[in-house]
Amino acid sequence: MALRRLLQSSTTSSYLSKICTFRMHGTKATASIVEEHVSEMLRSEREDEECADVDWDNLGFSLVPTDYMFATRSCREGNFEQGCLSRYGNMELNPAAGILNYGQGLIEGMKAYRREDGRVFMFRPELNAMRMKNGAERMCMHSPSVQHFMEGVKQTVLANRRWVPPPGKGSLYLRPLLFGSGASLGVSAASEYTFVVFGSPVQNYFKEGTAALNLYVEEVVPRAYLGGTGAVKAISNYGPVLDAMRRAKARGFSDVLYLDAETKKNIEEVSAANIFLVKGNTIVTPATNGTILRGITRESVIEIALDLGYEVEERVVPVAELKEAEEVFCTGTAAGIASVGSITFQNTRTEYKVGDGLVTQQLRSILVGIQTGSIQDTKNWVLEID
Amino acid sequence: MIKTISSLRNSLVLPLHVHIRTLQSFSKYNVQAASALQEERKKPTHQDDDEYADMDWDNLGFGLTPADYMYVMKCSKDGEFTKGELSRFGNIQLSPSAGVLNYGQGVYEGTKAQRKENGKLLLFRPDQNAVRMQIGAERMLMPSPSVDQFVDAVKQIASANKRWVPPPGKGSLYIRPLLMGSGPILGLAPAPEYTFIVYASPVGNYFKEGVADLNLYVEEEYVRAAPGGAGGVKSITNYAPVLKALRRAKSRGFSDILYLDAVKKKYLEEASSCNVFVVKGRTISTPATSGTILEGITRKSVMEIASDQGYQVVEKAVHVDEVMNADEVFCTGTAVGVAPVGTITYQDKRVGYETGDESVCQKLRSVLVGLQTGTIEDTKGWITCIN
Repeated sequence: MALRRLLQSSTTSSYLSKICTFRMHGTKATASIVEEHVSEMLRSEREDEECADVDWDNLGFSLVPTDYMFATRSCREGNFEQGCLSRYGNMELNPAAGILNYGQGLIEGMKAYRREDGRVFMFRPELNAMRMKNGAERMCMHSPSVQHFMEGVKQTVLANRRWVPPPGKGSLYLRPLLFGSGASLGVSAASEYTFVVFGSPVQNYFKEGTAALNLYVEEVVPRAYLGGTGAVKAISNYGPVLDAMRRAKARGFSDVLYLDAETKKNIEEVSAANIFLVKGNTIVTPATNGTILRGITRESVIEIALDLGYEVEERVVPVAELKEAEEVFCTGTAAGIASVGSITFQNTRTEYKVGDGLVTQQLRSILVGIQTGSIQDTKNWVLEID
Repeated sequence: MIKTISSLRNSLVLPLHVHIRTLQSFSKYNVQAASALQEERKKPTHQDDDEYADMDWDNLGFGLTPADYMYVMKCSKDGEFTKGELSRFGNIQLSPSAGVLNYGQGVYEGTKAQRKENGKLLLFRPDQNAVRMQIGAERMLMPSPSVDQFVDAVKQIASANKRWVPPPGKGSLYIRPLLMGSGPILGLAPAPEYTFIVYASPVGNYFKEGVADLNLYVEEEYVRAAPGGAGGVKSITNYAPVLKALRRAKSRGFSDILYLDAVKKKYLEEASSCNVFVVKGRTISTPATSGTILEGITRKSVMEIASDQGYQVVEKAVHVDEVMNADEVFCTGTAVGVAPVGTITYQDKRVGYETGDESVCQKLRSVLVGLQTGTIEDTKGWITCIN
């Protein structure tokens, strides 16, 4: 009772984060009081909800810290605690944590969209939950159940509702992150894992905005290799390509298109997006045979294209085919469906058709329409967050 | 736990005793929290004049027992590392959007301090670890401490944690420098800020086999590194991806895994955390470090010792068939030392090797250990002595 009065009369946020530290150490009784109070607080905040003070017209893809984040921890047996929201802020980690020393971590990427009527929706979030689960298995990590993942994401969206941009101005990007937080010295899987979700309002991923991208085919650095972790969203896939990205960007390219490690003859994907080639009525994308991340946007676009009557081929795509494509586009949660204006391979630059009336634009309109609610969702792809 | 209760206590407005009793009773409902509290209280308080920490020195393995002090130094993306500081070993604070957590932007190192009979502490070629971290940092787009800053930090850690350096012959103080992208970043890009940490732990043998011969398995499904990747530097991203293969091999009774090259799947690369050598007659071969293999400091040192002893030392592509036909095989690493390999299993074939006191491995190991512990004179300037 005294604690309840305390929470109501004081600066909630500072107590929340301190008390959430109790929660992280497993003090269940304190936690339930905190959670109850958070729900009450969120309900009252929603009643007089305003949008956060952000320049919605100039959002890029930089981190804008939002109000709350979700966190939970697993124990040795692999069961995750219920978890709770706390103010977005620093976490405490043991210097010997598995993620810091051995890169044991997985990320996800999702978006929440606000509609004209104020309701907030997400796109196929359960697929991210399942993808993280599969990734955890590959990385010898414990993962939250699909339901727990969804619960964490939902709580984060609701708590940060005022950060979901107005319709048409972007989305709230969510970053679920699962990592080995337990400490060990020798190379081994951590015995404790932490799952957090935080968000940031975003608009366009590339600095080109919605203008067509210029890609560079990287021949030295592979993004992944057979027997590696390319097919899961492991953090270990990203650090090693920063160098290739920097070199490409320094030469004016938007991003890098990687080749397979074994033969260096076939295209795989871009640093954080899948790739599609269009020729006539055929749309081609590299098959996900163990090195390529199976994008959720990729999967959705394939289905939309098939519905529209295109022939869609998932197969090995030799780099030589780049010269023959009429259109090229990338797909990703962050990237959306991004038109590619040119690809440079060795010293040859091939240009592609961009603009309205093309296949890329057609697919984009439908995907965005479904995501934002202007096209009816007959596939149960969008989920309201309430 | 204690810290949190007291900080909360400080900011309470209403009667303290009510809250403290309420909060303390919450810990009753959680055994984990209560026992964590108990463990905290049980830990011996630090006595500066204790020669040794309270450890069972005869039974050191390779588990983490954090030594008292750690070292922390920070830097911005384009800046220089500012003066670092020792602090009590404890949790660090990191943004959830830190580059190391989201994109694996991190490199680490491993070195050891040994205690000599006369009480002095010895470090083995720490400047080499410093340079290797710089090379790794550059590959991962991170700024790094200078060689002097790195070596100074390692020296400070060894000195400050002297009571954790095992008695001569019982093990060593394993020192773990770690460099990470600690600043927040959302889109895939280098972090805006970096943190360099060094912590330490007393250790004995790396493998649970102790000093017994290793049994290795040649892995054909999982790959440790590919050309153009980060295998040639000590990036954190090289390790988690092999946990699955390692766990599978260990569950089948193997000590570790030998990885093959990613392209032909026929050439030996290295084990999970050590390099590998193949002995045939008077020739000692080891896979050349052509970008996928970590250039071990123990590897480099052993090659020089072997050369001094008159062996023919060859760095080349080592075909897996050569390994299966060798006289001896051994692994080298800071954590593992020079470890003899008893058997290697490749596909369905298991081959045994010569090991024991008369082996080349043991001869090289004696010289290396002699240098590292100060019983053999160091004529190469490999040993740094700390008083």
